[in-house]
Amino acid sequence: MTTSLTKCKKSLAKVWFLGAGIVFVLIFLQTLFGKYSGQEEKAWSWFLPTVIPNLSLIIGILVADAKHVLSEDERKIDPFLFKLALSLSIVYFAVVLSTVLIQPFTDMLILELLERSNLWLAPLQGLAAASLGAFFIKTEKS
Amino acid sequence: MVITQKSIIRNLMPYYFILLLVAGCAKKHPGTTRSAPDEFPAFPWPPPKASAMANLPNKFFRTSEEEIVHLQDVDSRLSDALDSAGYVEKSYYAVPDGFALVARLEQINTDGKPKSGSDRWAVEVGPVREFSLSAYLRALFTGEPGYFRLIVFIVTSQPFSQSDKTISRSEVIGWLSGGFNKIPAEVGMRLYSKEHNCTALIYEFEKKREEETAQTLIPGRLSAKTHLENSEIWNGIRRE
Repeated sequence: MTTSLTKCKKSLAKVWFLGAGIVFVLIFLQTLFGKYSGQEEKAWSWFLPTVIPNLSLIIGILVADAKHVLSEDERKIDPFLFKLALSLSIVYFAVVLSTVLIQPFTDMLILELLERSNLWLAPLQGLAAASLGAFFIKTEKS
Repeated sequence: MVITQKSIIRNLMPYYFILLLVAGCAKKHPGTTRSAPDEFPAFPWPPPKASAMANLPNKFFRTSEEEIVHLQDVDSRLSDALDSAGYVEKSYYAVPDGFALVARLEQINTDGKPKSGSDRWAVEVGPVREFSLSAYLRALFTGEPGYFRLIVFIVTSQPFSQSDKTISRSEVIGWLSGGFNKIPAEVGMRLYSKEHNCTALIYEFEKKREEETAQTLIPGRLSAKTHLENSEIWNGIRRE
């Protein structure tokens, strides 16, 4: 495998930070412009569990990596697991963003849609988290 | 011939029964009697505080000073204008020496033009149907305020002011079903005298999509004339 482990981790971290950043800005602007009509805490209660668990995992690993000066780049990486984790992360954020961006065209109110989105976001988030975990654990063991 | 009390009763009995029968029929078929103006539901008087108000020129209703105009003629002119502007549903109420004509609550654009299609009569703010970047961004980031309008024409000879009471959107929705479907004949036959005037009261409401209740806009964003012009009613009433 030619791709280094550090590069893979950075790619995954970029996807998660960029995705979470875009959704954060959207919710922040909606809060500022009064989209939630006094129920802002409900929107933020939806946003935080959507990104924080996986972001915490990635940050934890990046911090742990920074402490170890190992020849990580020489470790073998399972390209399938990396591609799976990356694809699921991208799909997850595409769906999260679509949920917020598509609301003006739906008959549902924003908070109603955010609440209902847990139906499709929870399984996707579980899959993305599992693939991230599998990628990192397998890499550590190899 | 001896006329006894018994024979009198016997002779009069058939007439008495006929009288009872006629009276009974009249009671069973109230449609055959004319509605008394007393039953005409009264419009809140003085009218609740409106977002905008305009007195329509009397030349809209009479071509010359000598022309005899009845209230039903004024009603016809208003009704025709409303019909042609799409306001098919309306309701009539009694006001002192005249009548009030209430049109159905509608949803309008920011310029006072009615929304198109079913959105016009929807009581809730709907999603973005006609895409434009500004409309989309407004809907995405803001509370998407929807504007609602109800027009009331008051035809009366009495001068009036508006009360301090502010009316809610849910109350004005009830006005459409609370009044008569047409002007009673007794009221319609009254003369539209030189003292009479037709006043348009505009009740405008703002409701954000995410909010439960609508806010009454006092004063309104637009003038009453702008509302009437952009709803196509002004041109409909105006005599050419």
